[in-house]
This record gives sequence, C-alpha cells and structure tokens, in this order.
Amino acid sequence: MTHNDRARERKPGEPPPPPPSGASAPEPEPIAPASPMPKAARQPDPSRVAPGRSAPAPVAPGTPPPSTPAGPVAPDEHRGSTPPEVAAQVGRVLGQARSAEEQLAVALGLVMDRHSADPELRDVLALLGSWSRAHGAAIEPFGDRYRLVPSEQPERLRSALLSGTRIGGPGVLLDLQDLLTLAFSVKTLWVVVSQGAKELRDKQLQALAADAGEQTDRTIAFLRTKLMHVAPQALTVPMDVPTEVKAAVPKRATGGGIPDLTWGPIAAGGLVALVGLAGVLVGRPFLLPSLGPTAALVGVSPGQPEARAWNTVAGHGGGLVAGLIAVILTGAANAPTVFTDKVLAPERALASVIAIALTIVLGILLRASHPPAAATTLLVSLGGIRTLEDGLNLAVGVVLIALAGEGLRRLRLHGLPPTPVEAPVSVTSRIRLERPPG
Amino acid sequence: VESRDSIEDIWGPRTTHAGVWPARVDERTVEEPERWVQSACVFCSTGCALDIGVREGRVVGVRGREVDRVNKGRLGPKGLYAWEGNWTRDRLTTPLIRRNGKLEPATWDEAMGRVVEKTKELKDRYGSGSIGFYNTGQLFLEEYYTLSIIGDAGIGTSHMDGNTRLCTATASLALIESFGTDGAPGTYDDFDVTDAFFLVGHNMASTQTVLWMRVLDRLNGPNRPRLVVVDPRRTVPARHADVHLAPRPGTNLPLLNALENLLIERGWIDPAWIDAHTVGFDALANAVRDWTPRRAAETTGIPAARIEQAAEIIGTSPTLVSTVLQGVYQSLQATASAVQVNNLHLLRGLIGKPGATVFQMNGQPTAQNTREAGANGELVAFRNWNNPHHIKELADHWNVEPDRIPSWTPPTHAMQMFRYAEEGSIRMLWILCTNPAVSLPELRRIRKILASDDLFVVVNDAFPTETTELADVVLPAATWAEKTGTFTNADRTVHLSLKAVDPPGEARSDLDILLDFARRMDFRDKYGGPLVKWVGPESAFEHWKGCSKGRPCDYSGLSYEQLEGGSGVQWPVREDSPNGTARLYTDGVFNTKADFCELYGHDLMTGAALSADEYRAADPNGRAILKAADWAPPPEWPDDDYPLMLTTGRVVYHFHTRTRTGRAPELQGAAPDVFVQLSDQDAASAGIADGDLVEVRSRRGLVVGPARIGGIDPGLVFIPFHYGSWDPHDGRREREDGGPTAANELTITGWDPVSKQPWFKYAAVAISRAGDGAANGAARAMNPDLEAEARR
Repeated sequence: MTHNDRARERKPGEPPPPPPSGASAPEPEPIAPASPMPKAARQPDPSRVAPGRSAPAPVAPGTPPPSTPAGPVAPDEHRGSTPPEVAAQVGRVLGQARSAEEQLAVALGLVMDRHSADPELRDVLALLGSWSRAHGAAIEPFGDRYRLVPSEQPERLRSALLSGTRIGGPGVLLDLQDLLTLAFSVKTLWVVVSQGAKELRDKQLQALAADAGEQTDRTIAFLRTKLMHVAPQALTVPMDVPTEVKAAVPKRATGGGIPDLTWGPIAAGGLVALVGLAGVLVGRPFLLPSLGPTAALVGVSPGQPEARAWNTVAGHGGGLVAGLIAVILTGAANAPTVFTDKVLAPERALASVIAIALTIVLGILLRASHPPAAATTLLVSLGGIRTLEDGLNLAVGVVLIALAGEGLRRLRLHGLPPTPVEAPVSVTSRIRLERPPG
Repeated sequence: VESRDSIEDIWGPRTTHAGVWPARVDERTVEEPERWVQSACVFCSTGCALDIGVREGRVVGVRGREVDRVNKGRLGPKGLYAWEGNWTRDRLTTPLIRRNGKLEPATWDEAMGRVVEKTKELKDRYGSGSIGFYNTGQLFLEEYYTLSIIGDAGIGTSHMDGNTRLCTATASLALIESFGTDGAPGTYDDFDVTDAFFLVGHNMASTQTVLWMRVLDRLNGPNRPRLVVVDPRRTVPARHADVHLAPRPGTNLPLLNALENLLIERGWIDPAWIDAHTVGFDALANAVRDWTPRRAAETTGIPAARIEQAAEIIGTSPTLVSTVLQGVYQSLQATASAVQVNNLHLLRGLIGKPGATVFQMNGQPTAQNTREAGANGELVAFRNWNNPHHIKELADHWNVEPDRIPSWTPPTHAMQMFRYAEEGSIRMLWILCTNPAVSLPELRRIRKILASDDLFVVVNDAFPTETTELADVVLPAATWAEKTGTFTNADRTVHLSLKAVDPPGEARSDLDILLDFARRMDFRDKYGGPLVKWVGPESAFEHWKGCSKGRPCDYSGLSYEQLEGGSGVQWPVREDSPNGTARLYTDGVFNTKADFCELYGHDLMTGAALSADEYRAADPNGRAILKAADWAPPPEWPDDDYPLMLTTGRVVYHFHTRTRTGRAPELQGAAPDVFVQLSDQDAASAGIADGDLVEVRSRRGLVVGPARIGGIDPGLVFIPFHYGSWDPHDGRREREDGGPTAANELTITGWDPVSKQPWFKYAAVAISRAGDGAANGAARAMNPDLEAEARR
C-alpha cells in the first residue's frame, strides 16, 4: 500500500496517519501495523494526566479501554456516602473548575489564533490548551459523586479580558497578561478542590487536583517565561505600526484573529442589516430600537454570557412579558404614549418601574440576563408596543438576531476548530528534585 | 603530493589497534611548500589539527599534525580540498555600500562610517533593542569574545545569537539540563577503548569523517565494539551497525523513552550510582513506564524486537560512547530527546570514565567558542543570566555597572530576532560570517525580511553569498589562514590557528572590524577608559583567560605559547592543571550547584524556565538531573495534499551553504547538484525514474532536483540543504533546468521549545515529475558518500 492509498483510506474526522511504517522495506521482523495511529496521538487519555496516579477515566466516546483500569469513581471507604449538601458544595467548585478550564482552553486558542505568525505561541499554546481540555474532561466522571453545577463566572472573567485590537509585541504582551490571570484563577480553583478532597479523604479527587494543579503551574510557568522575554522589547522599542500590522496578519483568516475595530462594526452592522432587510422585504417592522443594544453587545462583547442566543431570546421574551404585566397591573393600557402623544403619563412611569424590576428578576431566574431586554420592556410600558402584532414583530426580530448573532459569536470565539494537538499521556518533564530511592 | 584521493577514498586505510590509536599523516599539496604554519581544520567540529603549506605568500596545501591528540595526522576530504576554494577570483576584497539599490565599492571609512552612523541613530531613536547581531560557528574565540562585550556592554542589546542556533543549540541545552553547564563530559580517546557506540541521528561518516575513521579502526580491529545507529536513512554508519533503528520523523523521544524503560525494567541500571549522583529517578521511571517496546514500535515504526536488541547492547555493554547530532537536534522535541541520551548514561553510571561518555556533538568548528564567549544566546563563560552574582562578576571583569549588561531576559534567539525584524522592531541586523538566506527555514519569508527597506543589514563575509546580495553594507572579511586566533572542538580541545598569508585586497579579520567599530563608537567603561581593552588576538585571549577563570570553560592556565608546536589542549586548563582535563565529572560530581550552574533549567515540553527560587528550593547540589518528557505528537502530519515527510541533511563533500566547499573544484565536482532521495515505492507510484527531475512542494515552497532512488524508507524524502541559488560556474544563476534548489524553501518556521533550534527534519511534502522529467546531468554524482563507499 502506498502512502497515498493510506491517506485516501482515512475516514473523515479520523486524525491523519503518521508517516509510513516502512512495512514495505525488507524488514525481517513483523511490525505492529494494526493501528496506524500511535495511541497517544489518537485519543487524549486524561486518566493519565500524570503517570502512576489513578485519576478517573474519561467518558469519551470511542475511547479504547484504558491501559490501566481506572474504572468508575467508587464511593470512598472513609465515608459511606457524601451528604447531598456537601455533594452540591463540592460540585459547585468542581463545576466552576470545569468551566474555568474550558474557558482557559478557549482563551489559549484565541491567543494562538491571533498570534499564529509567532510559532512559539502557536505550538505551545496548542499543547497547553489540550491540557486544559483534558482537565475539564477528567472532572466529568466525578458527576457520579458530586452534583456538578456549571458556572458562568469563568466565562465572565474571560470575556472581561482579551478584548481590543492586539497586534505585534504589545498585543502579545497584553494577551499573555490576560492568560496569566485566567491560569491563576484555574490554579486557585484546584487548590480549593484539593483541600476539599483531602478533607473528604477522596483519593481520586486528590490525585486529579494535584495533577491538574501541577500542570496548571506549568502553564503559568510558560506564560511567565514568555512574558519576561517579550516585555522588554514590547515596552521599550517604539513599534512601526504598518510593519507590525503586516507581520501580525494571521496565516489563516479566522474569526478570532480580526481586531475589534474591524469586527465590531461589521458584526453589529450586519445583524441590524439582516433584520432590517427581512423587515423591508416582508413589509413588517421587525427592526425595533431594543435590537440595537443586542447587536452592539454581540458585535463588541461576544464573550459575555449576556450575548448568548438563549439570553437574547429569553431576555427579550421576559421583557415583553414583564412589560405586559406591568401595563395590566397599572392600568396604563389606555394612557397616552410617549411615542405618539409625546407626554409621559404617571401610569406609564409607574408601569416602567415595575416592568424593569420584573425583567431583571425574570432574567436572573431564567439565567438569561440580557440588558437590551430592559429596552424592550420599556417599549411595552411606554406604549411603543401595544398590540399582539407589535409583540410578534419584535419576537421575529429577536429570533433572527439571536440566531445570526450566535453564529457570529461562535465564529469569533471558536474561529478555529479545536486544535488537533492532543494531551500527552504523561507530563513529568518538569524536574522533581526528590532523592531517588535507596 | 597527495597521500590519497580522498574524494574516492573518503576515510583512507585502516589503522587498527588494541587501545591506542596510531598516527596516520594525511597530506595534500599542489606545490612544494616553503614553510608550514600551524592551524586546525574548520570544516566540522572534530577539530583536526593541521599545518598550512605556504609558498610565495600563497597557501599550497595542508598536512595533518601527527602530534595532535584529536586526529593524529588524519584529515578528511573537506580538510584536504576545501582550502582551495578560499582564494577564488570572486573573493570580496573591498567594502560595498548599497546606493540606489545597487551594491557599490566603497572605502573602509565610508562603510564603517555608515554602520556607525546608523547604529547611533537607531540607538538614540529606538533604543538598543532595535539592533541585533547574528553570527556564526566559524569565527575565532577572540572574535566572539569581542563581539560579546560590544553587544552586551557596548550597545547593551540582548539580541545576540549565532547560526549555532540552527545546529548545536540543543547540544548546549541538553548538557545544561542534565549536568548543570555546557561542556562535553568525555574525550575522543574514549572512542579507542569503549565496548559500544550509540549514534543517535548522527551520520558521522559524512559529517565527521575523521571521527568515523576512529570508529572504523575499532570496528575492523580487535575487540570490535558493538554499534547501534538511529537514523531514518540507511547511511554508511547504519550499514556498519549491529542494530539499525529507523524511526519515523518526529519519534525520537518515544524510542529513547522505550530504551530507558527497558533498562529500568530489566535492571540494567546502577541503583547505587543513581542514588549517589542523580536526582529525579522516580519521575523518570514514571514517565517512561508506559513506553513498552510494543507501544514504541507502533509509534516509531521500528520492530519491537529490534528496540529490545538495542536496549540489550546499551544496557549490558560494560562501557558506552553515545553521540548525538542533527537527527535529534533538528527534529521535534530536540532537547527532550537529547536529554534522554544523557539519561541512558546516568542510569548506568557510564560517564566520566574511560570509554564511557555521551557526546552532545557540535556541527561547526568553533560552535563551542560562540557558546563559551556568549555570542550565541548564552552569557559569557557559561554564566547564568539569572544569577546576579554571575552578572556582577562579569561586570567587574569588564569594568562596567552590572545593569549595563541586559540580564533581565535571556539573549534573544535567532528565530525570534528574525521575527522581531519581521515586525519592524529590530531595525538593524549585523550578520557575521553566515548565510541565512540559504540556511534558515522557510526561505521565502527570510528573503522578504532581509530585503525589507526597514531593516538595515550589515554582512561580514569573505565571499558574495545569497545573503550579501540583500545587504546594505558588505564588509570583506579575512578568513582562515589569513588571521590568528584559537578555537575549540567538541571534546573541548583548544587549537591555535596562525596567520599564514595576507588577506586579499582590503579584506580584514572580523576581529579588526569589530575593534574598529568599538573605537569608532567610542565605547567606554565606567571609569572612562576604553571598554574593549585589547588590540589583537593574543591580548583578547589574555583578557578572556581572566573572564573564564573559575568557570567550567577555564582557560586561565593556557597561553598561545603553550598551544604552539604541540597538541591541542582540553579545557579546563587551570594553573594547577596546565595540560588540560581529559574528562569531566570523573568523581560523579556535576556542575548543578545552584550558585554555579549555567541555567536553572526548563520544562522540556513547554520551554518554561524554572525560577531561581524553584531551583534553589531543591538544589541538586552536584548531582546530575534526570529529566523526563513525554511525546508530543508532531504539528504537521502527512495528508492527501502533502503525503510524504521531508528530512534534510548533508553530503560528505560540502559544508553548510557551500560558500567555500562549492568553490573548491574537487569537492564541487564530487557533489555538484542537489538531489532528491526517494524510496523505490514512492518513486514508482509517482512515475519517477532514477535521475528524473522531481518537483518537491510543501505548504511553503518548491524545490526541483534530480531523483536518487533507494536507501530510504517509503514515505520519506531526503534533500541535502547545501544548495542555494549561487552556482560556482556562472555566479548567480537560473538553474538550466529551472527551479530552486535550496531545501529550506520547504521547511517550517517552528522550533524546539527549550533550545529554540528550528525543525529542519520535519515537513510534509508532495512530489511529482518535473516538466519532461529528464535531468540533463545523468553523470552527476548523487548521494555521493554511499557511492564512494560502493566504489571501494
């Protein structure tokens, strides 16, 4: 079989084969040809986050039986079963750690993407990202024992960072500072998990926290090293903007690599254009003022949870309902409106207070906080939306902008498909200066 | 007079022995010399001593020095022939300045004036960080030392590196990570008594012919040692091997981990020695535990049984000499892999004893000196840039305030310098004696950077090259035999090379050029005296002796006088050991003490540097460090578009970018053109016959050359990297059959995270028959080392 044949035989989605095994060379001994792909490259094996320790097995589809039986997470002998309150408390931190590792991986991918012309960032950040993903996956099986609660907090932290136009040396420097902030927050969570696991005498969780914590230390050490290298040059040598911009152009155009100054206006403008065009074509007013803030939010801060499709739809929906309830409660339905009558009736002012308070309560309860929904609810309470038809028009606009916005958001945040670099099976190159046995 | 035709008979007659290598004097002169002048060969890191024959002010031949411990009179083909290329008509003899886009002759005053004016302007406007130096492994110790003080304390830039980054940066880092500082632990004499050789990615027969003679004399003599060779190609050493391991590209580390695992599992280790002299055993044992022969076989493509055979030789031989070169250094996970070879020796306690050592080999003749003198990204005399006491010591020796030496960040490595130049933040690059327009990866990018109007490029060279073509100022340099200085080989032997003839035209030694630059820049020390206090090679050497005192590369007991007449001497040479030191670490005490070590080490997988605190918290304090790393799968797999893997390398008759060997008629005649080595299977499926022109494409470029079929596994393509666009017959050329010939058109911009050495042995490519396919040089010698051996 020639190499070409081998390449063609590959199934979609399967990683490409390594270079040929030389099976056709006159070798007397048999070569193990059964698996064209070495094990480590085929599947990350987070159960071996570090060797010689038993971490839980990952629940990854298609995972071959692990080389060492890790098995499902068994109840701890020290304590018959974990009380539900404790399971929830530990589960909250674990859930937060899982989200934080995921967010770190996303951030590493984003920075890798932005600075892909720098091979060191390109290669090492891919490796570190694979570690973070492996940590996240390794938490999953602990769901049997602790009630894992997803957390939005890491996503909020990440979206507060890493924004703006970041090119050249100064851009790398800013991104490294932000990555360090995220990595430190991950490390902190592992310290907390580790302490809890010790108190619970949960050996498996202790092992995971130790390994993942140590690996996060290595991530921090790399970021710190790189930061120290680039800072003097980035800070003290005046940059030649046109050259830096040229040199910073990523080799592949990706959503994450485009500066905010370009991406923001195009994305927000595009969303408004979409709803506006649909409205003009159908001849119905889908485009209403409260969609403006949504378009701006998705365009400029796609990383904020508030910009998600669910938040957009449920948020505006909540606003509509809240406004309606407020108008009914205050009997403001027949009062003059701000928009046509140019007066502010007391009933409508009171309705607005109730509407906005209700919107916020609904947003929190539905986990669908979405500040632009506050505009929607005031549209209703102030009389801008009065009929069912008005409400439906807005709903169509909201759904359109939410769907298209989610697409743009994903493009922006996950411009690259997850990097094919997989976590190595063990990670012990960092020196351990302990005495050898003897 | 010619002792043998070394084009045909590369390694010469055997001189077998029972422990002491006999002398054999090789000589080639074209006229009878009037006098002989002492020197050493500059065409690899072996460091063969030779005498230069001079007649009427011209070099007329060379003769190996029988008294020298390194070669005992022997010379290889490059040593015997390449000197002829030094005095061709196209030597650069006058400075050149680019005016209106063209390089035009100028006076030294004009050229140096331009360089100094630009340096001052940039330093004032953009700071020291806008100026970089990219040097070589070809200058002399005194020149590197001068360059170092100019860069560190004169201009105060941290952008200083050598082309040694491309060949032996990994050697240096691997030694530092395991043993605390740079410096080969052993001596070439170990070759004469060892029971086994382990050559890892080292085609010694091609790259270090005289060392290979030393091995051949053992292989053909009494007590034949066993030989294990790791090389993806069936090279000459592979043909002599008891066990030949041909891993897939990028899989050195799994192979070495499997060997370590077998040693540990079968008890072929020395626990007492490990306990007394190393740290990190448990972590290493854990890390390699999963690399069973079977799993390594799946990853590397090497049969498990063969890995076990190799492990048995390495694990049970009473003594062992391992050598490591580009097959490891220029491949993936370079430092991590090189360190595993050190580990094999540490596991068995086979280091610092006769016949037992590891050579993290060098490529170029003076690579060791650029490292010692701090011109390649290390601090002077193996000092630790992260250790304030070391900085203070150096500053005191130089009479400058410590903060004048940029020590807050390690010196910028070459690839990063080119990145800064690409970003426009380095605006002046002074290139000394190297040819990045052929030797760096992804040449299209490199040419673009060098040609940019925003980058002021100064080049010192003896010949016009692909790089001088892109320069703004070219300074004509004197070369070997035209200047005096010392240099040090890969087993720490220092040789003196004396000036035999005058440089042609207005050419000057690099030392003189640098001293002139320092004078014109008016660099001062903290008391107002001149910063550079020496005026010539010997006074530079004397100053260096003081600088190196107390460090591992201690030259303090050495002098030009001592080096003249006899054999070269191995450092450290202290006043109490004037004859030098054959082996380091004979007492099992290594240079890892926190106060002494050269660096605090790295995470082998990410390149993260350990901090001083982390290192001091568990100071190995004289024990060697066993460091482990796991395999990280390669960044680029072969795929439908680029189904083959490219590896690049060397042929025996050429050195680097052929600047000199290409001008020596016999060497150029023996290997005149690039070739593309393919397996029978891959050639057949692409419809390519031996000698057909082949187009090789990667995502970055194209190379065209005649096919050479066989001697390589399916899926692999080999191209020697020597052949740039320059041609000796008609100067710059368009190849008669079209198409570029430099292998680095195809290679990837990427590097080892620890040593920052670029990947030259890993790139996915596609092949196809070019044009009508017929190469018009059917008689071209291709893959010449194998052919030369076949002829014998």
